[in-house]
Amino acid sequence: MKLLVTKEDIDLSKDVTFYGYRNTDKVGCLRRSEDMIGSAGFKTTSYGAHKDNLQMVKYGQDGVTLVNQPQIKKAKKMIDEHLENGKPIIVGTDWKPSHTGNADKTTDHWVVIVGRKTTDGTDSYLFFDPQTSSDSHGTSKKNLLLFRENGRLTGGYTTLGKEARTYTVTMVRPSFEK
Amino acid sequence: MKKYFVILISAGILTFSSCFKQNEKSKENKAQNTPVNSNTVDSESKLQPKQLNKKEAESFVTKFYNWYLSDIYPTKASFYESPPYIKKEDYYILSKDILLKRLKSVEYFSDKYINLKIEKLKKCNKSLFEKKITIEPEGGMSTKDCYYLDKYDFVVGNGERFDSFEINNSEHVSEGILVSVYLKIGEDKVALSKVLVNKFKDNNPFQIVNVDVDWL
Repeated sequence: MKLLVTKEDIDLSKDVTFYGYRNTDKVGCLRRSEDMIGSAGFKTTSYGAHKDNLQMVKYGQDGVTLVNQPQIKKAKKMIDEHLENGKPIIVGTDWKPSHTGNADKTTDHWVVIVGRKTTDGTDSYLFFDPQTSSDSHGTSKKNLLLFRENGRLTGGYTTLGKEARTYTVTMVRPSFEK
Repeated sequence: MKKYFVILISAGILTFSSCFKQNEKSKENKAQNTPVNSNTVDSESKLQPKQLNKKEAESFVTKFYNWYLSDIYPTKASFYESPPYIKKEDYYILSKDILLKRLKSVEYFSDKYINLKIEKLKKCNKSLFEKKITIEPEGGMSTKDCYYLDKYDFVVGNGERFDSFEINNSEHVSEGILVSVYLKIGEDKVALSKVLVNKFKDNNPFQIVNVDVDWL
């Protein structure tokens, strides 16, 4: 029997200003994510391999298959605690079989989690996505990451060009007051 | 004696003819492989590694990273890496001409480096065109041949704040001098960039042949 735990829904989206894709800094999704949490008065760890970052999944030895990491539960807890304390939080995501030069050699992209909703005991997390320059698309209520039974956070994202991507959260970078 | 004279004249004609053909061939090669920078020449005329001065190479790389980290990375990090999209027929691809123009405007980049970037972009564009993209793409390349554009060329990550850099060492290699540079966040050395440089004409400054950067 599944134990249903009632959690409070949280929405910090009004506290965070959206910063989206820039043509002159096409790879700068971490910077845009930092700008977003910065607008709410926070900053994150100084770099990708920082000891305070928590890894949820990472490519295994074959370089293709995602493998859960020992900190996966702690990372989920960190996200919840951040939101419960009114802090948006930056997470890394994987969506393609490659990486974009990040320290974990897995993360492709960075987004900001700004809310949580619990339906039938399943947590889903609302995120702002700097993949796009469109405010409405980047902050859409459809941008959701769902907590899965395997301990991962995954969700679908569709670009303005109708390209469907599946995000899996790879890494969590804590927020600190500026 | 007459026989020797005929042989000598024939050899002279053959040599002249062969040189002429070689020059023509060289011109052709140059036109095909070197579509850039008139102030640089192709890689055949680069100086031999032992003739190159390591301190001078390190000084060049210092100048380059000073320029990149202070003038380029903060505001237009992708400017010399990924050009804007343009339409070819009805579909979006990346502008090769704009990238070429941008790269040519920077004296740090050698022809060899520029050619490498242009060839990669051509391959990427071929894949993009085959996908028949009708809405201008934004962040994240979805075609394998274009994945390389999702990384910065001279630093790691997706916008980490690098505070400084430090030359580690330099060594003579067959292609020139390989200068290793630590990229630093605060006092932490977080990444190592290996910059291959060479001089392509006597008395000319160093230029970048290749850069390979990764986290430590």
